[in-house]
Amino acid sequence: MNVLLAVLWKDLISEWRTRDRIVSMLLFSVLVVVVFHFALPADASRLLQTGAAGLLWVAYVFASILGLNRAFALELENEALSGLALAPADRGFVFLGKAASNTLLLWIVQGLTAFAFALAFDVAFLPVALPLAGVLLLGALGLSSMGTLFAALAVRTRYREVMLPLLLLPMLVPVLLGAVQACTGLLETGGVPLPALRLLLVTDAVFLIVSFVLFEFVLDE
Amino acid sequence: MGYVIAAYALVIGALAAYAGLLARERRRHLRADPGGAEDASERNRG
Amino acid sequence: MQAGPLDRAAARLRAPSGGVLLMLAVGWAFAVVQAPEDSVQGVIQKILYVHPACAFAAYLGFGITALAGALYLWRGDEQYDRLGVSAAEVGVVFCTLALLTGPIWARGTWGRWWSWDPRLTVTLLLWFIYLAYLLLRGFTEGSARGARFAAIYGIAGIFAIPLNYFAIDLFGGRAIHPENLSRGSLGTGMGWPFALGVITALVAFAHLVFRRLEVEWLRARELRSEAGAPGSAAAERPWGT
Repeated sequence: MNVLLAVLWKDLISEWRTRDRIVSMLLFSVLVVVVFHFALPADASRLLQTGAAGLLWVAYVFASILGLNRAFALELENEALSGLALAPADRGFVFLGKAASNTLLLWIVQGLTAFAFALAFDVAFLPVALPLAGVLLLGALGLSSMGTLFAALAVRTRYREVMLPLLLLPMLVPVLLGAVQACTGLLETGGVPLPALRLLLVTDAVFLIVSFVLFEFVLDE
Repeated sequence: MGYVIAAYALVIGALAAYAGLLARERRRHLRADPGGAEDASERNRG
Repeated sequence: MQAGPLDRAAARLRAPSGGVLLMLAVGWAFAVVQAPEDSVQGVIQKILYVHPACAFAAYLGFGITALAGALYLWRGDEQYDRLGVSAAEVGVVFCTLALLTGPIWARGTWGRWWSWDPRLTVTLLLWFIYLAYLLLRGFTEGSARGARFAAIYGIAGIFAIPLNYFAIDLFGGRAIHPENLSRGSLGTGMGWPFALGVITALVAFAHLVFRRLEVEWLRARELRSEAGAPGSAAAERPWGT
């Protein structure tokens, strides 16, 4: 547990010093939202109201991939990956620490982007802000758990930037389904639809457990 | 009817072609080092 | 380089399975031609003797890949890695065929090539996932790390099946898109060609996996002898470190 907090803290501190990941993720995410404005037809206001969740999650997925690509790049540059492996009993908690920091960063980016989206397209997120934050967190957890595992794989492969989205995107479909349905239901009715919530919870649980177990074998040298 | 023929031709053709590619590569390896087939089926170690 | 029991079995079973396959294929062809035409769909319904069979073979392949990956991570025996890549590649071939025959049937029946039918969509996702598996293994050619990474991904990927079917169930088969084409149900006289089709596809799958396993073993052996040493260290290619 201490290892988890230590890794999480170290990651967040180094991120706070440079802020390069969170700034690039946020800029990218907001840029995608801006591109939507130009990509959609002129009177797309109804589309934006009903499709807001979908558009946002597209932006979130790409932003998270951007962040994940950088998540292990630092360790790789500094040969720190073998250092992480020195404590075999703690490897699982190293994973949890990294996944937690990725989740947190993504969650912050999600919130700020949603804020920008609400301003730009006049969508009312405020009444459902609290449950929305919860759904965003669940989605971020799903994205980041598998994402952290696959990032650890991809970073030591040829074409690492291309490899991560190829590995990750098809796996993320259940998270996207649940998150988009939950957010859409939330915006329409003010309450989170239970089937979507169940899907998110089950997917998050499966992803967390599977990634936790499999991460053991990533640093097995 | 054309659709049905197309579908079956596709499946059978693709599988046969794939098997053919594998057979060709197998022959290529064995020509280079003929010990291969014996090793695989007769060696009694491992 | 030693051939494990799997490699030896593959070499031995290649020819006999080919013979069985040929006989089955002929019998199946007769059954398909003989089968009555569906009263509603007409002759196009006969594609359903080959389309689900390909899908079954593909799913079997991916399941074997995941299992082989788990065995490789547990035992470290390279023959499991060879089994994994062989089952994945043959699985992707059958998956591609399922994804092609499905739309052909849909086009002939409903007039549309693709409609995001939930089951076909999951099959599409699996196609992407196990294609990525092959790419991952390809980009780390021949190294133990590549085998390990592929095993990890192959195991993770298989969870897409239950999770996505769970998602389909939860949303009543609609998921994001409301359409849900119903599968043709089998009338009398159609059970045999269907069952025979599935069995033939599975035997074809096994036969192709045997061939592919053999080729994989030959490739690995050649890589080792090229590198000069019978051990694994020489075959390591340190991408990215």
